[in-house]
Amino acid sequence: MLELRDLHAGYGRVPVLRGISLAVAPGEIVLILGPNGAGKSTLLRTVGGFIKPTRGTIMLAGHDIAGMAPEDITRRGLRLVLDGHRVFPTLTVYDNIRLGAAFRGGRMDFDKAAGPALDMFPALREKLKAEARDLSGGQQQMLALAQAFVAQPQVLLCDEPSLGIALALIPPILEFLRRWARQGTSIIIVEQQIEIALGIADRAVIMERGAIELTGTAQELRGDARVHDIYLGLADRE
Amino acid sequence: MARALARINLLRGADGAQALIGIVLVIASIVIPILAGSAYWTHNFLIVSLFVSVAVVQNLLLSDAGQVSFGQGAVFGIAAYTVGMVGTLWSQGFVIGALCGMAAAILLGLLFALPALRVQGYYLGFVTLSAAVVFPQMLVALNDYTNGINGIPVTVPGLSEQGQTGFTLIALLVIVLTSAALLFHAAFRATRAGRRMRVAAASPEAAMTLGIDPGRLRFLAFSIAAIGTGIAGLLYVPVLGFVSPYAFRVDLSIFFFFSVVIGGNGQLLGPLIGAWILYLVPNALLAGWSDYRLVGYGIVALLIMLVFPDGVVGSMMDRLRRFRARESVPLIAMDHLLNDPVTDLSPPASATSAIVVTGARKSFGQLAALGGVDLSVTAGHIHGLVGPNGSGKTTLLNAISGLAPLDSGVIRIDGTDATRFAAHRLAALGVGRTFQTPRIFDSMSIWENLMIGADAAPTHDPWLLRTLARDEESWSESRPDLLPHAQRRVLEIMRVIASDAPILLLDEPAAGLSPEERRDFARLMRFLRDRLGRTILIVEHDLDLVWRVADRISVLDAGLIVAEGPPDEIHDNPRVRALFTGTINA
Repeated sequence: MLELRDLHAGYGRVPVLRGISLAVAPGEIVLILGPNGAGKSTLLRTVGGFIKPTRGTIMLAGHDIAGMAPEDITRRGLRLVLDGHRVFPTLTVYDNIRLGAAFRGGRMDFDKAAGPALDMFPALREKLKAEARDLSGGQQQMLALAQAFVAQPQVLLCDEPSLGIALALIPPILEFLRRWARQGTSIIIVEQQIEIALGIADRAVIMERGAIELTGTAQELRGDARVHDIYLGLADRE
Repeated sequence: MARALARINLLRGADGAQALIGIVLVIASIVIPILAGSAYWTHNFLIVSLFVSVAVVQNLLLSDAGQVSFGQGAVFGIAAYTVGMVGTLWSQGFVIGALCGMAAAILLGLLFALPALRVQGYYLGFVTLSAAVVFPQMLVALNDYTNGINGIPVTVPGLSEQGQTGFTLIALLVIVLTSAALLFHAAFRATRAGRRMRVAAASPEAAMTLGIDPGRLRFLAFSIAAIGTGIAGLLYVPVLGFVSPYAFRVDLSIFFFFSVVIGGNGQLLGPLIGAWILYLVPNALLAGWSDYRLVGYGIVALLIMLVFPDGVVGSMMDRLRRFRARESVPLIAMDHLLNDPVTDLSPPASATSAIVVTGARKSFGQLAALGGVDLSVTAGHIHGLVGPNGSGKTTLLNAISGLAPLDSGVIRIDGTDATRFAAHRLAALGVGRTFQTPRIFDSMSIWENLMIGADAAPTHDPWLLRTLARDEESWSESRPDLLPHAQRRVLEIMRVIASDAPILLLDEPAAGLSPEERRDFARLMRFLRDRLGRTILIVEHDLDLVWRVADRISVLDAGLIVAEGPPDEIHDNPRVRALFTGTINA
């Protein structure tokens, strides 16, 4: 569904991505791990069209989308959920969710389209009439996910879906993403809640200094002693 | 100011370098036509240099202080006209006239500052614009005093007499004024007030929690602008030898504003380039095509904004910065903070309460965010505040830091009743905080971002900056805009530590941190408590982290404290178990 070949990108002359190759099949969840500053968010932003790649191709459903504008990429079925609660503050929760499907045109059956997301986040259903800026930080993050859900993208890129979300809600959110993937959506997640996220990912990729260092299933990565120590942070070095 | 001048580092810093280039250009633009004996070009460049100095202070007002004024032309005009009226019509001479002109300019400039305390943005723009529209009409209407539409001829003997080389005293004064304006702006940015002004413009909320009163800084900005604009207005009179209402129409105010935008909002050199283009193209280069002047003017302005969306200098600096960007962005690590052998161990904190909240209630419309919260944080403790999303944690932090006053209830900080304190007064009491979305200022260097914290410290020489001294050089050259999200969070935490505030309120400080950074962060929390004696109230969703570092924990749910106690005691409380397993209503 999504295939990156030898992708390079950066800010000015600062190279951030150095030759990323990665393929994600329909229905597959790929987790991207690595220290902060490794280029994980930059990778998502490049695929989403916000940063122009300097080299390489990004194939989405057989078409090269590298260098396209973000809005065109969105129309082709790719959705990017960035970190830091990006919602429209003065619109209601209801309108924010509807906007997710706006580009497809025509009428939408709100309850049908948004139902599973609202079942996942009852707090949103209670506050459909409230303005998004009156939600707490964590609820705004839920709203961003719900908005992406009604867009029914073929590919979903998600930067730290757990950011600002209460610990107890993280497993259900990731479970929600897994069910979402089973409907055929390819999902890439960047996440620091590594233990929980590994549980739902089909594959994990470890990035360091802009390149992919290691890739494998959750089981394989857990078994690798070096990975275990350095990247998963399970060794207590306090 | 002297220290600040030394700090701007004229050869390396972009501000200092741009100011120097500007001064060279100003001197050259006046000296060369004089030496070449061209009275026409000398005159044009004297006028445009005066406009440059007005645009320089307008730049400070617009980009450093964030104040939109479309009325600086009226300030300029009132200074000039007062010289004409007092000096010539009332025969008091230039010196007395100039003193009165200066007083009038400052008075009008401060009149603009008054609405700025209440309204901002376009609203402030309209208020000042109306002054600029009315001003020339007043000059005509009050023709008994102003000589109306005929204007006032003014001769100032001495200032305009040419020496043997063709130089005049007025040319020298114009060079000095414009150079001084550029130098002042560069130096001002490196001062404490200059940094604080930019912070107050970028985020008034964050500014207040750093002890800054945004209103005072707006007042300061309008005062600086009035003084600079007023002096330029005074010198305008002997340069032109004549004042008339026609010269001070609203176009002049718009001209000053556009000079800043065309040149590059916030760039030291921007106003000079902008004023040169906007004045010289229509008035000098297209002078022969006077019928098409306005069309030419419009096309030039449009083309410039298309080619240079950030203004001429702004777009060029942006390209330069990208070209010269370092191989990598410096990483903000906590390591050597933690390894610092702090010698001045604080005395063990006695069991006094640093923060006491009683009966705190706060509603947003129908929604009760806080329904009567009691909270007591012991001095020298790390106190965890946990709870589901939307339970009121951030609202409580906002109340304690003075950003959202309570509907009812009492907040005491170190025994002082601070319930009705504005945020900057709470900061003065020693309360510092971070935000869920870090408030980092991308137009400043990483080091300057820390300096704003240090500016709020009582000693201005906080422990943190001394410890990080070896990073000063590389962090002064890098901007935080390329920092990953989690690093911005770390930078904000460092900044609040730099403020030396004894009480820290941290809102989800560990969100987005990697496991390794979380470990360092936990060490940092303990270090702050044990070695520096700080009191910390931490809102955090990473419950494992909270349970590891906190001395006491309060659980908030739906605006009420439902459990409270030391970590191991409340661990088995059903409300706490629910937080871990997710059965609590979120």
